[in-house]
Amino acid sequence: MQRSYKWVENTLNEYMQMTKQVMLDYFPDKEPQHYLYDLVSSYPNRTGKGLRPGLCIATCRAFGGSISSVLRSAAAIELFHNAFLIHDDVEDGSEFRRGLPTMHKEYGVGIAINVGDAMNVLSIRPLMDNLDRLGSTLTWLVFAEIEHMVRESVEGQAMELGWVRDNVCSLAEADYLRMILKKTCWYTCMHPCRIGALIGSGGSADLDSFNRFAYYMGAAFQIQDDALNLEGEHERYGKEISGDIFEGKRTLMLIHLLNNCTAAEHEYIREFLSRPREQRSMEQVGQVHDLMVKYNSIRSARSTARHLAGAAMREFHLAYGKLPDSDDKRLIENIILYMIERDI
Amino acid sequence: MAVEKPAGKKPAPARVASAGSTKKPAARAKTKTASGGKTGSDAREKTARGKTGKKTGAKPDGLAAGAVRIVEQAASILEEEISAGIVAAKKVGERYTNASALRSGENEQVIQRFRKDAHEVLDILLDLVNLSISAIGGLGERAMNIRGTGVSNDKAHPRPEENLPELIVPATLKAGESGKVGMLVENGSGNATAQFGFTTAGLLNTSGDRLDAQHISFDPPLLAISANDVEKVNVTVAIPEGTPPGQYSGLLQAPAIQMRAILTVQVEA
Repeated sequence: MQRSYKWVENTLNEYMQMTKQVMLDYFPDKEPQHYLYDLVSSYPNRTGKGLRPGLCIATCRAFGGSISSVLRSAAAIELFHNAFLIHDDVEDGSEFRRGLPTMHKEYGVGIAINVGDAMNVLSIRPLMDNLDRLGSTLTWLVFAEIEHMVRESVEGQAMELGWVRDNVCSLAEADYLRMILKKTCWYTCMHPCRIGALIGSGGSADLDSFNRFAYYMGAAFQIQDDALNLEGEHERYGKEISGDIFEGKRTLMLIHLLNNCTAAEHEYIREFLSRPREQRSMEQVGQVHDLMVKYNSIRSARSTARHLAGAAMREFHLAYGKLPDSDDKRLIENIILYMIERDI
Repeated sequence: MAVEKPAGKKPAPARVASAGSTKKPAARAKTKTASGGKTGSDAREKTARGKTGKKTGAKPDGLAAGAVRIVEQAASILEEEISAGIVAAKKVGERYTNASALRSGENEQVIQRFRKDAHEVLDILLDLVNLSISAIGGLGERAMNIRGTGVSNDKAHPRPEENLPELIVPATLKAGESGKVGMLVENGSGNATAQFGFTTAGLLNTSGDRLDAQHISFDPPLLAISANDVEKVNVTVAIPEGTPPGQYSGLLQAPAIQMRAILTVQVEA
């Protein structure tokens, strides 16, 4: 039976709202409003889970830090995240984001790319403003974390885009794990935890101790997200169902299928993936989906997500175990299970 | 579109026995070390990255085993990426800030933790059972027993991973030299194994110096073992120029048959 995670959702939302307020404070109130600054708040105003600011703030507080000391960094992470999403939607040709049309679908590719660029730039100022609050050393260390986070993300995105572009159909699980480590895990879980610990501890925490925990949790989160893309409800999930198949994304399910199907089926999928997105029919997407069901690719991925969550739970106790008990520490522990039991 | 029915392509999982395992396996695979010596080989390991066409389990009862394998791969990949990425990033950062001065004298602890990372893969898998996140039917089938020359049995100095056999390159090596240790891998079951290979994330010494995976090679790199048969595998460690002296160790794995061992080599100045 599914547990109730209302407390987790409410707390994540509370931290998200605090972070969003800081983000909004950094959005310029000047021209060009209509084609730029009115749009930068579009994605942040859509309902998200608030995982990144939640992990960042909760880890900071678990180390004894204050919310006010970490909010600007959390806002910067969230701004980078939203910039990624806008560009990611363009690159993937996605149509829906958090239940609404993607930026480029609504305003065109040029506007969308520029809004994403603006959000990347806007994320720098709160990091600069950390100087007054955190001092030069911690401010620099947070910058270094952010620089690594962004670099890893674009490298991971490049891997995935390259696979789609070249229609690579011979991937192994290890390729996928490396890709999501770079594209998703560093910026979704690892750096938010590391930055929260860095600020909360005043620089004394061993940041590497969060890597394993956050990687396993991020991987579980991503695989669960990919599974929801195939089996979720559009209204709750907020993206088009089976959109990843339409986009030819090399998910763990697709890799599993390609490695288990017959030669004829493999050739069919390869040919399907070689077509431009607009030439892929709903019927073909449905057939690929059916093959994933036939070969237990989705069940296998969900099983993997649960095992990764188990590994994350074990690592949580190593990374956070010595900290005093607190609501924030419990929140982080509960996020692990919430992430794999969620249906949104 | 017409698609063919599956042709029963799922390979039977390798069933192997574990040193220290209380479960009696239905089938058994053993690895023994054979004598080794210095060679001039500089063959490179084929890492998990970039491997293609590897078949994975598709039957429902193979889901847990497949998931465990993926967690195992994730641990290795993280270690590789961290050593390649974040460490490099830190070096850049330390040019501008004295990050280590902020820390409270835990450097040695950090290094020890890092050195142990590879070994903790096994702990993670075992803990998964206790956590009971989900039924893990495949775990009882896994693990390996390694015996023979070159295997450490130092009961006076037990280690957390003492159930893991240790392969020791017999000769002390200098930079520029190579050493070899052999293993005899025995499949005591009545079923042939699927083709499998070995991986390692590299070796570390107590000072945190690293011997990258590319300097460790396996001959043959891939093998399949017939029922009730034995195959010899040579593990060659090439010591690159500039390698600091020390005892380097790390985890050696054959994920496909759930085999793990600690590989150790001594490097002198």
